[in-house]
Amino acid sequence: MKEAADPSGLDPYEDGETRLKAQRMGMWLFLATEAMIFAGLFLSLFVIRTLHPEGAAEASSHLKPMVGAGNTAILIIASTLVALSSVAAKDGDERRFITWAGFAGAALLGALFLAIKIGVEYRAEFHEGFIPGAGPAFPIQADGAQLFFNLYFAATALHAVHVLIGVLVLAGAALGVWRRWLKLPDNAPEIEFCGLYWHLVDIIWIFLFPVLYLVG
Amino acid sequence: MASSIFPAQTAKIAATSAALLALLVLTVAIAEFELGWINIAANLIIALAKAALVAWVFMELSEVKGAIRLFALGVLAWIALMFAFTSADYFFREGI
Repeated sequence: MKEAADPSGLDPYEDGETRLKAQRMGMWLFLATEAMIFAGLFLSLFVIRTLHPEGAAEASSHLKPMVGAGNTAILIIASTLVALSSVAAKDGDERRFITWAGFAGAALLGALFLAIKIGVEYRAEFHEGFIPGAGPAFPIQADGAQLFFNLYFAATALHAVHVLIGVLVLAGAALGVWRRWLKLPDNAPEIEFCGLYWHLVDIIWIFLFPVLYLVG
Repeated sequence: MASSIFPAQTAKIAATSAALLALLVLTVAIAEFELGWINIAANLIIALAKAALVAWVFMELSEVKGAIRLFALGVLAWIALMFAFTSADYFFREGI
């Protein structure tokens, strides 16, 4: 008989390996629910583009694809650092530096993404009158253009909240590994789960970028 | 053993990262041309390819089996169903 991982008897799993499998599955289930939240927004966007192709295309042409592409590259590089960190975490203490430095670097890139998204894009869009209920009047007459922009703000702002949470999670994990509050490789799964969340945030942007900025 | 798996994993992650950035350049380049529905199809296929690379390599979907893969595919199936039923309404029903 296998020895219980938790002598108190409160842990429902027979051993650590089974518990880890359940934890990983729980994390993926959570990520699936996150994907479903954004799928609703993508569906709305699809409907607006179907009902008002001209209005949506004209509204989309007022976005800045190069800024969006730059931000996509930032998230891809951040995801790369996170992937390297997660692998290094499994190797244990000898590669601890890579783990926390990778997470810290990714957190900084995430912050840079938010700075560009808010400081450059939202700022310009505010001055052009695209933000609902604030700034100058909405400048485009075409049907559906205003709907497109409302949805653009809903989708990108919800994504920005996820990036912010991701930045805090990555920075917290980096601090934990650096200060040795998290032990490697024992806490490698926690590092992996933080990374999985970040990758999902990256994947959502991978879809948001072409659907909002490029499909005209 | 720890150090022996390091170069292979790192090379794989670096190659994936390079592929993702190349696909990003490709998707922006395609958008420069007016190709009608081909633009939409190409951009969506590239986005799906990028998402698959991130999930398979970065999220280590290649390393896990069983229920986790089912969850990853399951969410795709649910989203596909939602899009299918909604488009059926918008494309084939009169008066919407």
